[in-house]
Amino acid sequence: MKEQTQRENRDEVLYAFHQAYTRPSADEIAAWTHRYPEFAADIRAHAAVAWDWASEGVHEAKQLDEGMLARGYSQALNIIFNAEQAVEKTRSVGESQKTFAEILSAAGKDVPTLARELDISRSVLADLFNGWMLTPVCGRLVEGVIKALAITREAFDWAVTYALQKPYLGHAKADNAPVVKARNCGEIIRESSMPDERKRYWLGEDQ
Amino acid sequence: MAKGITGDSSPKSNDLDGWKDAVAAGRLRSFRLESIAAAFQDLGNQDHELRERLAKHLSDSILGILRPRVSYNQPNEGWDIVFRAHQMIFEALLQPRSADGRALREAFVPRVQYRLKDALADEAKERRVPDENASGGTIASEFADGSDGSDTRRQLIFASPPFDEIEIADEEIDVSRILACIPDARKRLAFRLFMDGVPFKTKKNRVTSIAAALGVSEKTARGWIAEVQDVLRTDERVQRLRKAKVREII
Repeated sequence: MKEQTQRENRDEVLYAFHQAYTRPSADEIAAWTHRYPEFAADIRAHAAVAWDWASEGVHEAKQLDEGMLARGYSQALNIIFNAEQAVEKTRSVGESQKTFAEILSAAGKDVPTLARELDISRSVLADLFNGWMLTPVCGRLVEGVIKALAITREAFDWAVTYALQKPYLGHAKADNAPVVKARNCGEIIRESSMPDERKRYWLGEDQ
Repeated sequence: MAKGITGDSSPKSNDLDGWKDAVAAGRLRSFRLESIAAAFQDLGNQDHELRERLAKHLSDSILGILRPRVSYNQPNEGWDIVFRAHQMIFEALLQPRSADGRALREAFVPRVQYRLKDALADEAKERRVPDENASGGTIASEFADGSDGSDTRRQLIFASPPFDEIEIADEEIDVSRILACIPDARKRLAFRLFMDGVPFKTKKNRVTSIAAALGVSEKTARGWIAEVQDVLRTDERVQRLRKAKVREII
């Protein structure tokens, strides 16, 4: 986690540097390396590339032909496939890798029970558990579900990701395949049948 | 504005039918890449064919952004770096909560360029040959310090054949492009700053030197510049140049 945080901090600094200058001057390079000594080598390396780009301009993409585009698309499809496989594999074991259905079952609860406990519309919970709610999930809903089901934030995040990857599709109609229309958390809460006061609470608008 | 339509007239990111219609009508090119990235993330695998169409459009667009910014002087004409960056960006697209995954929805092209810049910087670091101990002393006599403690490229003395005698093939050749053949990015940067008139060292409080900007000693900075000059002196393309600026820098 520490390594990831450091990586994110590095990206934050370098991206800001990237956005700020197309051709950083010696003064600017020195100022940024002084301000962020831990990333000094990276800042200089990025400055060098920035100067290359600014000085050389863009190279003519003479070889961006169909073959290379096809190779890129093939690589993209492989990455998508591998990501789907990874989700399947990682859910095999571990406390933090259970679906919402498994978590509910382990807690001896179901959606109506949990909805009453949290004083929230069943439809909101159903959308969350069925993979029909886009992230980010509203803060109070995350906190409420985590507390009521006695799970970690990590477990919640994993279950949300899995639900979105494998949404419940419902039953097919006679004339078309089942479809999923995932919506934002705020949209789902606002369009639920809850009283306005409860909607404001779950949206965090009562503060 | 109709319900379910965003600022660039693309459907909302979670509007499955809207995106299927847009793809069927061949309208993807008219949408911002940020909108397409958001739809790719939010629609997930709800419709397999749609996901592949969005992936194809994003993949082509990413390559179109990357390729012109990678020199063909790189190993394998730069394709290895291009596809490495393409891979990182596509993996980020599949992780909507990651920093890159979020950023691609907000500023697609700048984030792709940033990720490429990072890949190029990493590549340069890996290819770098350790030379911190390289001596710059043998050329120190060429650079006499100014009375105020600064010195610049204008004080260089170059003893190669007179440019007047050189046959000029193309005066428009840009030294910057020739510099691409210098593999060490730090040396290229040092030389570009040098070309820009930045002094090797300075006693003035508000003037930054090449050594300070690069975080190396003055001796090392001088050594790097001399090394690049040696390369340029032997480059046929440079030899054909007669620009005054070129004479100054080598």
